[in-house]
Amino acid sequence: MFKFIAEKCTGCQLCAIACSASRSGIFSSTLSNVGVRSRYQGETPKVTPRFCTRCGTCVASCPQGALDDNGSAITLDREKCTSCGTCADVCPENAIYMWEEYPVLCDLCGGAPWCVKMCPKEALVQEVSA
Amino acid sequence: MKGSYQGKILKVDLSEGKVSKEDLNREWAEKYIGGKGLGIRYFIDEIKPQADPLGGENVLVLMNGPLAGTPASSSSKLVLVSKSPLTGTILDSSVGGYVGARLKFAGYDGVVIKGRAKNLSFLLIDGPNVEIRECPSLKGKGIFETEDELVSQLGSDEFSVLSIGPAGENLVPFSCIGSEKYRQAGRGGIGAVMGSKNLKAIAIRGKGHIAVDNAKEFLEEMYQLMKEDVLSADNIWAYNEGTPMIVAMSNASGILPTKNFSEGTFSEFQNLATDSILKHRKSKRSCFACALACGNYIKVGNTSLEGPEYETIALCGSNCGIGDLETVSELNRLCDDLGLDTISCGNVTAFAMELGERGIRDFGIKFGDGAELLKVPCEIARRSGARAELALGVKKLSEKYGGKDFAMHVKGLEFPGYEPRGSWGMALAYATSDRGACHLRAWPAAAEAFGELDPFTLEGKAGLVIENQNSNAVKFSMSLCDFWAASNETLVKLAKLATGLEMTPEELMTCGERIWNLSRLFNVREGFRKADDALPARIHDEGLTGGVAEGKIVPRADFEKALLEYYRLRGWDENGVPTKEKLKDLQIEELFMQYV
Repeated sequence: MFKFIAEKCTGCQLCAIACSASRSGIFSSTLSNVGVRSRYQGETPKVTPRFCTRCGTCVASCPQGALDDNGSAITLDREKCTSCGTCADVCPENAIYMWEEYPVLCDLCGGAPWCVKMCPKEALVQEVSA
Repeated sequence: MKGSYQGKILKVDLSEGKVSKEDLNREWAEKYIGGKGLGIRYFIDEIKPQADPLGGENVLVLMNGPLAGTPASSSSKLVLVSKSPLTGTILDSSVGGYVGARLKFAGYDGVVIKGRAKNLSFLLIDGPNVEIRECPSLKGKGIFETEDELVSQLGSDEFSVLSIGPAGENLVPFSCIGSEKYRQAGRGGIGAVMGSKNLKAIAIRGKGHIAVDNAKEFLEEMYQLMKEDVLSADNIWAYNEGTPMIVAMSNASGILPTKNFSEGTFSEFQNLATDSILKHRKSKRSCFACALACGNYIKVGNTSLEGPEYETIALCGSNCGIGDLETVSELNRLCDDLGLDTISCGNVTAFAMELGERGIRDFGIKFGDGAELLKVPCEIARRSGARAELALGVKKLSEKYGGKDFAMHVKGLEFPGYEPRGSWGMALAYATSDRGACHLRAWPAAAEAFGELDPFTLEGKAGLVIENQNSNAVKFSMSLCDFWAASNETLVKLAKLATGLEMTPEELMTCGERIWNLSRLFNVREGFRKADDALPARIHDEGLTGGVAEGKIVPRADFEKALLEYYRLRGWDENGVPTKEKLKDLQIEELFMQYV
């Protein structure tokens, strides 16, 4: 799981670019499992992160039962997946995107997430679960 | 070459209400890279000689560099190119924030805008969907409200907005274009160009991606560069302090413009320096993909804003005799909302103060009068009230009322915050800059006033200015911010990652030289020659007061010699016109030969 420290985030979105590059070999600020929205709301700057919280909405919504929570990340069984896109649509964090027909879910980059590595201010950190 | 270009240029004709898409000219992209260089190339292709900058015939080009939207740090400077209403020269001005990356993710490297809309309109670029929409309700509104209204109307905060305030609508020749409230394409009146086209705003959303075949390699390389270079001691000042760091440095070196460039130090500089800013700082803000995050969001008294930056502090603060941070901050905020360039606004106000002091013309404002000063931006932007005429800018105001000797501009563009008498290379930098007095083309102050070189000689400075100009032309063409002091070797590495082109540092700098010559060619075509590469008499004839440069001038003979040396090293003739041989060497297209 990730922990986001809003006071440290400057809104640069390097997390999103790193994610899209490492997961899908592209650069995008939206086609990524993590990202941050940064904007002035009235007088005050606000940063709003998005990343998988393992809330389980996608797992519960998948019509094929192709998703599972393995205890650290959500996994996809490609054999069962019909590319319907429901998981990406229902994800409340916008942390799932469709790429080359399949949903891309955060897999924590196998343990060393690129978003965390590329965050220049340590605003996004990985919490090691007990 | 595919690289991280999108390969598409959007063309918009506001008169006809037409939008079309065409393939990127790859040959031009190879020669002029992107951003500044490619933007100027597209601009020159569309603009007629002697075009009226505020007529429908002027053209506005938005151009990304190949690095925009990639993980390269500090790479989100979208360049806007046009003919300047303030100077009549080429004008390229860049803006940070997210807008450049969003344009790229929308699928375009650049946008070429021609003509004039019948009614006040905005351009909507939502990925493949591009429309010109009328927006009568936005008339007269400030940049902050315009952005908020458009974002709310479009129903998504994934839009970035470029817009003008009342200053741009009223064709103030030093009006800017704002984005995300506190980011500007500031100089030379690019806002008035939008105003003259009845174009209030451009709203951009990009949900797409850049397809490259080296994304992982690019990311790995940038990760290393970020750790070893971007976040190193050379650059981290941008995060720790930001540009207000320069206030104390300039004051110590005697080059902090004070009271319309009559003095080089300011007794109240501490109130405007880093410690004062840090005391009020609430958070740091960055542009897209920038690890440095130079932006300081502060709250001081009743004002909150992202800023003020050094240039604003110098020109609206010390140069107007103002040592109160809240006043400077409020002035900054007003200018950002109304859409005024703070450098020019501070200059023209200080010039009016001096006109009054000398009894030449009384505009009812004195050095140090903060309360009166705060009324000025609105009067300029709305062209009403006691100081409406300040909207002329320093050059035209001096032509009308006198004071040319202390009208601090080159070609009409007002001086930025580095006093040339205390850093002589800046004199040559201002005189030879393509858009008038500018510190972003060459900044020899770093090596002289703030470095090891003797600041009081022009010996060897022509070469330094040329190196700076070529290198910055490359950076602004790749869409890099100059706050990352990337070496030429690093620029080569980045260029290869982005374009796939293998170049030596020398070849890359030749690209920069080509771009610099192209902008000079435009100015030559418009009639600019050596006589225009000149500074106001104050710099040559009036000894500076205060600080380590006390009593210094930039002697005319030294300046003349350095200027001729500069032309010679550039391969230009004695009148500052590029020679045919030089253009051939640089492989600049045959069609430009007629200009020289």
